[in-house]
Amino acid sequence: MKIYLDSEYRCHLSDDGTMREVETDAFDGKGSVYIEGYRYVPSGETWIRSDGVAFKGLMVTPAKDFNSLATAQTQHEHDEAQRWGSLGIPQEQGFTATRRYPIGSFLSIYGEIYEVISIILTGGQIIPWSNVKKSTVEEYINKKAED
Amino acid sequence: MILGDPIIFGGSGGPSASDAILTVTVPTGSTVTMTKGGVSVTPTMWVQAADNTLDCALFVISPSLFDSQNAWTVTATNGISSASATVTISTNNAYDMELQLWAGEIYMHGEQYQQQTGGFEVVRVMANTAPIAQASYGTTPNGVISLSVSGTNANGAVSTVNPIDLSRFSTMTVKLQSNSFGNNRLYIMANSTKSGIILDGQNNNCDFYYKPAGYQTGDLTLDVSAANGSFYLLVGGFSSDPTYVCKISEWYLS
Repeated sequence: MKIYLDSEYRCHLSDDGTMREVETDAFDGKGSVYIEGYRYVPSGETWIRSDGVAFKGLMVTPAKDFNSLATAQTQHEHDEAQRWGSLGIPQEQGFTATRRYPIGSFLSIYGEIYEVISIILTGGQIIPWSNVKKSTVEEYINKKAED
Repeated sequence: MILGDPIIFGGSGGPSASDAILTVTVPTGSTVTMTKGGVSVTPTMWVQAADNTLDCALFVISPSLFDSQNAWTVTATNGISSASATVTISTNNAYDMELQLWAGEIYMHGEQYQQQTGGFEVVRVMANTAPIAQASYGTTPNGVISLSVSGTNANGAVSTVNPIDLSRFSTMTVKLQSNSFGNNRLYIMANSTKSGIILDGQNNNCDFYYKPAGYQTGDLTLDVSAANGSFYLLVGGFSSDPTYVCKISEWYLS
C-alpha cells in the first residue's frame, strides 16, 4: 500500500503536498487510525528523536501511545470481520485452519484476506503461506460475481 | 587454586616482595590485558574466584615498570564486548579491580543491574513453509546469548519469558554480532504478545521493530517511547540459508 511520510517519518494516508510517498506492506490489514499513529523510517535512512538519539531504518514503531492504537485496531478488525462475515468470508483466529478450504475459496487471518491457491487445507493443519495468496475484499466480491 | 589461598613469594621464579600485584576480577571465559605506552602485558596467572562464574587475572609488575605519572589501561573482553579501567601502579602494593561484562540479563542503563524475571526462551515464530524451523539459544558464562535459526525460510526469536514494563523508558539497545548472507534478516522487537508475530522475510507483524540491513556488529536501537505498558522484548532472525546466528553481548533499556 502507499503511505505518505512527513518530515518526522510519521505516516499519513494522504499527502498534504509536503510529504513523500512510500510503498510498503508493513501495514497490510491495519486500519487508518493505527497506520496514522505510526512512524516508518525506511531502510538506509535515520531519524533523530528530539532528545538527539538516532534510529536507523527500517524501523516501524508507534509515534502515539500504543494502547490507543491497539484499541483502534481491535475495533477496526471487529468492523471488518462483521463486513467479511456478512459477505461469507470465514475467519481464522490464528495460523491453524479450523476447517477445510477448497482451492479458490477465501479466508481471513489477522485482518487480512487470502485466497487458497494450492492444496486443500484440512481442519487442524497449519496454513503454509505457499498455499494462499494475499487478496482483498474487492477481489472476493468480483470473483463471487463471476461464479 | 582459589582466591584467598596464600600466594608464596620469594625464592626462584614467581613474584618477589618488591613487586606489585594487580588482581582483576572478570567473568569466566574473558581475556584480560593491561597496556601503557605501547607496552602490553598479559596475566601472570589465573585463579578461580569463590563465585565460580568469576575468574581473577593476576599481574605481577616489577619495580622497573612502576610509574606514578602514567596509568595502565586494563581491558577485559569476551570477544564481542569489552570493559576497561585505568590504574596507576607506583609502588609494591596489592591493587585490585573488577571489570563487569554483560550479566546476560536485560538491565536498566544508568542504574544498578535489575534482574528481569523468568529469563529468556525461544519463540519459534511462523515458518514460511513447512516444516517449522528449528531455533535455539544458549548462554555462556560471560553472558553472551547466542541465537541460532536453522532451516530454509525459517524464523525464530529469543524472547523474554515475561513482559517488561517500558513506561519509564524510551530506547531499547541491543549490542550484537550477526552473520548474514543470502536473504537472511535480523529483527529487534517489542511486542504486546508473544503470538501472532510474522517474520516471513518480506514484512513483519510486530508492534515495535527494527530490521537492519545486512551483517551487523554493534549497537542496535529501537524507539519505545510510545510503549506505555508491558511488552515482550525479542531478538529474532529469518533464515533463507541453513543457519543464521546472532550473538548478543548486551541488552538494556534507557
